[in-house]
Amino acid sequence: MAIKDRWSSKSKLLLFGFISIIFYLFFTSSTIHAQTLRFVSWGDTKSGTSTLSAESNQAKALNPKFTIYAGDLVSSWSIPAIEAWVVAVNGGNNNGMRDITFPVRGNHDSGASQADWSNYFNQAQTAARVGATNYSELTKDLTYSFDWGNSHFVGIDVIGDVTRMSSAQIAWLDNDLTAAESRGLTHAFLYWHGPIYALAEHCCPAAPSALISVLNKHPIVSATFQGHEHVTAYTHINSSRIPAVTHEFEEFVTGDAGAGPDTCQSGRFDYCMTNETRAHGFVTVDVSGAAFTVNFYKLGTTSPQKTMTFSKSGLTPTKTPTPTPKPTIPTKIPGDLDKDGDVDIFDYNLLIENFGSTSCGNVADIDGNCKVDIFDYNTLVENFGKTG
Amino acid sequence: MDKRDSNLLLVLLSSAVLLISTFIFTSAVQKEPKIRFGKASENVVTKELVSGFPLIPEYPASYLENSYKQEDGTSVRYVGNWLTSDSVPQVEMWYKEELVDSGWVIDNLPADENDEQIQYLVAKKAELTLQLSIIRGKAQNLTQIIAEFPPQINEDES
Repeated sequence: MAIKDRWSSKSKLLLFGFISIIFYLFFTSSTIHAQTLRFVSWGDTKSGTSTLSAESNQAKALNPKFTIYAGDLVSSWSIPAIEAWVVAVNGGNNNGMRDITFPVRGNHDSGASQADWSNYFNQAQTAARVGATNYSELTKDLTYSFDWGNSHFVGIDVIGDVTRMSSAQIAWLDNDLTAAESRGLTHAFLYWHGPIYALAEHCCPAAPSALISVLNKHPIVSATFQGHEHVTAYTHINSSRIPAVTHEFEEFVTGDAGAGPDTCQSGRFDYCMTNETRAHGFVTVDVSGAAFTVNFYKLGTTSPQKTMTFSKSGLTPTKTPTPTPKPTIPTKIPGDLDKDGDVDIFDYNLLIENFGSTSCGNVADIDGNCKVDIFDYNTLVENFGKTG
Repeated sequence: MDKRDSNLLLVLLSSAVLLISTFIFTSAVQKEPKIRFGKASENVVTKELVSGFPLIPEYPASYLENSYKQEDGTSVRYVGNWLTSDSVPQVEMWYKEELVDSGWVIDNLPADENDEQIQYLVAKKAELTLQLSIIRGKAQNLTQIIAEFPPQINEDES
């Protein structure tokens, strides 16, 4: 009986140890795979550096992994002006926020050359510092992207409203999002200066059709963050906002880290903290799996004014294999002008290049009427993003 | 004429009516298009530069596909499209030198000047800003050179 009891104690000990190891492994792997991310979105300070300084300390207390900043750091680029911004973004007390901030230029920063900008911002170093991966650039420190956890971030140098986005930036964005999708990521968060859908004082330059086509093509796009307009606001972007939109996404304008507050226009927003509070502000975004939660903060108040949670269920992209070269096949999708099995930005460019041509047999003459015209354009746009 | 012949005749007649209707409809639509490409004030000019297009060096081994001018209120935007069979880095290197020789100041250079797919540079001269996009198309092994002049920035804009 005594022997039996001793074996029983040993067994219990072993069982306890085994269960402890299982629990340890389970929780460790959960932590690794379900990395939660908090980042801050803000922008537009100009001469309002005391506001930026106060917002920095408020945001720092929320412990973000990093921040994205949508342009107009200064009123007009000069060394004293950018030095004042650096002090302010560090909260006036070197709180370290500058070291985790990814800015892009706005129209008021246009006096900074690429070299001037790179003297102050080395985005690749910031990416390494915050633990981001897959850093990539189109232009050094100006237009760039990186991954963090299951999310992809793209900052584009657009000095003013969204119509200033170039053909190269749009084509690069398309390639960059395709690559992010092939890595199996869940979200893409895009940021630059001028909103895709203006909702306040810069109303309403139309976004380039090619940009909307690229956004439609990529289900990984979850939300965009812009400034230019000095409000803190949100709009759900669908075809009632922009008729050409087929892939819906969320747009946040976080352009009041000192430059505002201005006023959102009636009928053009779903939520406008600035109209409610008449205060400066910023947002935090918490990403957890397929969901992300956005908290709107006004300056000086520690609890959020508004909290919104979005889920991407049903929109999560499937991991696509690396494309392998395939033989040229006859066009199956109307609009696949380069016959590579999909209708993409390259087909769009081919059509624009040939628009107005009246020669029979032109590659962009989809309906075969010997004219590259609006009917061909409409056919291509209808099929944009389709693959054969 | 038996029943089979009359059915065949009916089918032939219906097809003829359908074809003629389609032809009339297509002609009418082509004469009076209900939808225009782009904005109302946008004009596409093929094989030549649209009037007022700013003077820039043109890549020698390229041909102009089209150009256009967009007017939106008081702002004007010019776009020109050229094609060449030369590589993206070749084109970028040429423009980098020629633009400087023509008095332009290079503002942004590509992050990787050896990139074979997409390169982007920005140059300024007086009040003009040139956005030069150089993109390798997947079709026909051609490189597209797109020169864009966005509307001028008003520094006082809020």
